[in-house]
Amino acid sequence: MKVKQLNLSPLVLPVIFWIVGIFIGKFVDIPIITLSIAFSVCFLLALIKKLRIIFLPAAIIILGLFRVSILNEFPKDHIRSIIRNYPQFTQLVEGRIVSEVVSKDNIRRFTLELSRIAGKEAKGKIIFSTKQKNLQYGDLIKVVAIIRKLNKSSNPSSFDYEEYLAAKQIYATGYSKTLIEVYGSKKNIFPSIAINSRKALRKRINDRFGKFRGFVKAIVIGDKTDLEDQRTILNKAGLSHLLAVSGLHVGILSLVIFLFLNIIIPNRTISRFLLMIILFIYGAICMWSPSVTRAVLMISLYLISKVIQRRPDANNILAVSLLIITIFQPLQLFSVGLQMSYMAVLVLLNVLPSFRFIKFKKEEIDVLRIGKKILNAVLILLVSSLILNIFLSPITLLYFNQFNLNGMVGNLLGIPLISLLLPLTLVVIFLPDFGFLVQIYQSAFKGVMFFFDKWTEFSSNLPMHFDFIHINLFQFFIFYFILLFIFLWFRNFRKKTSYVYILSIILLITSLLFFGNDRTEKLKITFFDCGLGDLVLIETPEGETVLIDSGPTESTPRHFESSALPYFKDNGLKSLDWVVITHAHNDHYGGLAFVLDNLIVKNLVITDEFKTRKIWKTLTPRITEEQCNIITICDTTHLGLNSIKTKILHPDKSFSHRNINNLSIVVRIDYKEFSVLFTGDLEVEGEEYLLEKYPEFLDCDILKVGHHGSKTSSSYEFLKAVTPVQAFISTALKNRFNFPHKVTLEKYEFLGNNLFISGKDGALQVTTDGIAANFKTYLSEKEFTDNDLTQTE
Amino acid sequence: MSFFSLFIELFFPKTCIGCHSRLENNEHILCKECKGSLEFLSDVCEVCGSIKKNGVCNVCESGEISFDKARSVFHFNKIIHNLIHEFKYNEMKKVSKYLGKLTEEYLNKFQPFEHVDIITPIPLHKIKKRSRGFNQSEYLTREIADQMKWDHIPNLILRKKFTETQTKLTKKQRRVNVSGAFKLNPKFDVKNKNILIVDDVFTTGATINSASNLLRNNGVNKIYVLTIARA
Repeated sequence: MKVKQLNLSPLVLPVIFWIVGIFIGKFVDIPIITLSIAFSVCFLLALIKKLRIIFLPAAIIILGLFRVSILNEFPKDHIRSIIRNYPQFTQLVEGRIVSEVVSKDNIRRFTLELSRIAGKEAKGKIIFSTKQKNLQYGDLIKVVAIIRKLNKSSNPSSFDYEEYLAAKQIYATGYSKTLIEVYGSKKNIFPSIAINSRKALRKRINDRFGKFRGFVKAIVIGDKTDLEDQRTILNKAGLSHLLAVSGLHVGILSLVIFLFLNIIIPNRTISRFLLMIILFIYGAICMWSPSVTRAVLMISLYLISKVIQRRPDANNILAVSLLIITIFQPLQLFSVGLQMSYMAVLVLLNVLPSFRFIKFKKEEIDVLRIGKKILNAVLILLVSSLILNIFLSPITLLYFNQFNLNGMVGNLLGIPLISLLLPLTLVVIFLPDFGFLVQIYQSAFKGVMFFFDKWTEFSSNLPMHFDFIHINLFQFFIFYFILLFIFLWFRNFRKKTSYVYILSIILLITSLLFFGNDRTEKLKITFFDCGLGDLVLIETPEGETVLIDSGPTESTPRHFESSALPYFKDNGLKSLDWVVITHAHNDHYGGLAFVLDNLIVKNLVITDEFKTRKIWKTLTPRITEEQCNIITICDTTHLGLNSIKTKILHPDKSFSHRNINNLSIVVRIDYKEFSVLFTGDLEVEGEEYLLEKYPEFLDCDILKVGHHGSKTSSSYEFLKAVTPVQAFISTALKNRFNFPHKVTLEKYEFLGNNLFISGKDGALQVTTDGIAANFKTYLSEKEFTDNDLTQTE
Repeated sequence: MSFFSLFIELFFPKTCIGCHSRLENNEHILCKECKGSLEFLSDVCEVCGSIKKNGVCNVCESGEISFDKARSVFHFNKIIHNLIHEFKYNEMKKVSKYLGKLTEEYLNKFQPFEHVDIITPIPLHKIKKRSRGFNQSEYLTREIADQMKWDHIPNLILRKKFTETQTKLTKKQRRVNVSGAFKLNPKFDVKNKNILIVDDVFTTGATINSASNLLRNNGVNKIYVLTIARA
């Protein structure tokens, strides 16, 4: 009998504690001195054997907290400290280019490690962009540049660039139009090799793969910039993991390289170390994306275990690799890529082996006939990817609001095909220029690729893709607990204690039903920041939805997909009851095609004028497919909503004007004491007409200012009639029309802080029960409540 | 324990090769239980070293032996299987030292071979050696030769035929498979010498017999065989 059973994976628990520490540290800010004291106390107490079991984990958790806390501590000359005091400045900066110089659309981008700002020493990295061509890695440069704080996400639920780059320890951007002076060069060997290889590989791939270059670049060097439709298709097919350079890819690559090294080098230890070096260069070539880092670290640790002749424990190695990543970049813990990658491997190592019922023992397989063997393999792959998908679903739901089982079928051929494609791409890339030989492999590649494309297209059309599902963080954790308990129940199926697990599963599911619902029975109006354009979503207390305008066209950076779609997905809004397009200008209808393609539109409200436009013809096929009602406004009317009154005041037949802005649909919304007026792009002439016709309907709380704050709208008379308490101007700050015009801003000066401009404040979200209203902006992060709307009348 | 070994211990904890449980600090290769359950093979057939059933030796009865004396250190059980497997296929070369020591103990205890001039391993084919990285038997002979102060010639016998792996073959197939697989290295003189051949596992004896035949035809005095395990 063994007295005590030692743990086979001694680092798994400590790493879990460490991660808990980082997790807490991200949300709780504790001063470093407090942490240091707490750590020393815990550490000293942990030296006492009896107390160790409590204080050692505590000490590790504090270490994790400590790691995150020091991220917020920067010396005064660090760019992050500087940028906090001066969000934007133009200065002479000096620094070194520490990344590859990537050019896209004639603009070159690189990471610059600062050494001086305005002659004074400075530290930290920034993303720099310029049009100058002669730059490369290692250059020491000197230039007058505009340094700017990174953009926060200006819309609810949308991608946060600042947080994304902060995880990479980059805190500002730089731009220069003046000449960059290169005064020297300092290259480090290792990054230099990686960057040059990446460049060479990219060039080779562009040369040899024709139209498949985007795909090959993604799977070989992790460069996803050239992928277009393929990404969405693979995503829908549940095969996006094939695109991420991950364990599968690095594993295949290592096998091929190790085989090759063994042929030329008799000593295994030497070839293992060589392989490790190659893997590290490969990691650098792939820019150390989380899944590559994980794979490279795990394989390297495996190789080390071979050299020192210890049997490697997979979970322990997994824990070590996570520890290494989070020591260097603790915030990577919050990146989706890392979470997916680690969850997948965790499930592969621990959950799948428990489902033995489908697996035959090796001897049994030998006896099976070939047909049964294939069936067995298919079954294993199906069940494995089902289990994997289920375990990954909370993550995909939380981050992408989708849940995809298409991959179950997709993996059946997807994985074998990619295992075939990868070695083929390697051959095509590394084959010297023997004309015909290269062509043979190229056509082999194209052949396999043909099947791969057909297969992914087939799997993407399978009906097991569910999106627009919202879960919150609480539900996320509950989901994982449920999965954990189901797994434990399954594993202890025959034991008497198994009812404990069933009980806890039931308990967890009920708690999910009770606390999971975070719908509020309030009216919610979101004015999105879509640049120069209108995009407003109204959600009624009954759950009806009205979209007023659809933002600018898809060629602009903040069109519907990037500004509003994340919010729609995150809130499970897949259908719109009413879509109102105020008038036929593309900063208002620009997103309509996208809306029709991606959401279900029940009623479309437009002006007569819109139907005469060319764009209408391109939209009609989509509209007939959508089978939505089309309502043309030619007189005062209202939309059929439950407790919200919506009046459409304008345009009517008796009013005609050659400027179609003046034919904008004007909507008024009333909910108890609360009212909003949306005026589209209505200009003075239209305003005059409204003043004449419906003076009693103009007074309201919030005004969506006409025509993006142009001086041709918002007349004094109109403002007097409306007397808004809050107003929203939908425009970017820099645009060719110079919106918002100074004259207009002066007119609204009386509102003070209650005037919102999307370019400055980002999106505005108003939540109200009809008595009190809460205002929240996303870029300027203002939040306040107007408690009694009746008083303001 | 030094800081460095503590570090290694956290990353790659020492495990028992026999049962895969964690090892204590003072344990090495095998845990106490596994080590305790190892027993030298004794009470065997005087000639071929196999376990006698009812006092009769099946191997010698069949009469196809070309060697003079064969011995195995252990019976082929789970632990020995794991030891040899980890050594052979997972490159745990440290196992060879361990097995070498145990073999020395065995040899000193039973003293089965009177006088050994040369000790030599069963060779691997060049390609196989390259793909596996090393010859497991050669590592074993080196350890044994070091301990027993015998003359070690690793390349006395050469493999000229690339044979497929024997693990899935029947007794008869094995014999055909390995017949004529070996040749003698002409650099060495083996006339009237006592030679000890070392291999990892004695299953049907087909490989050993084939190598012994070769030595016999070249005028060797006594041919001894030592294997770690006896199936």
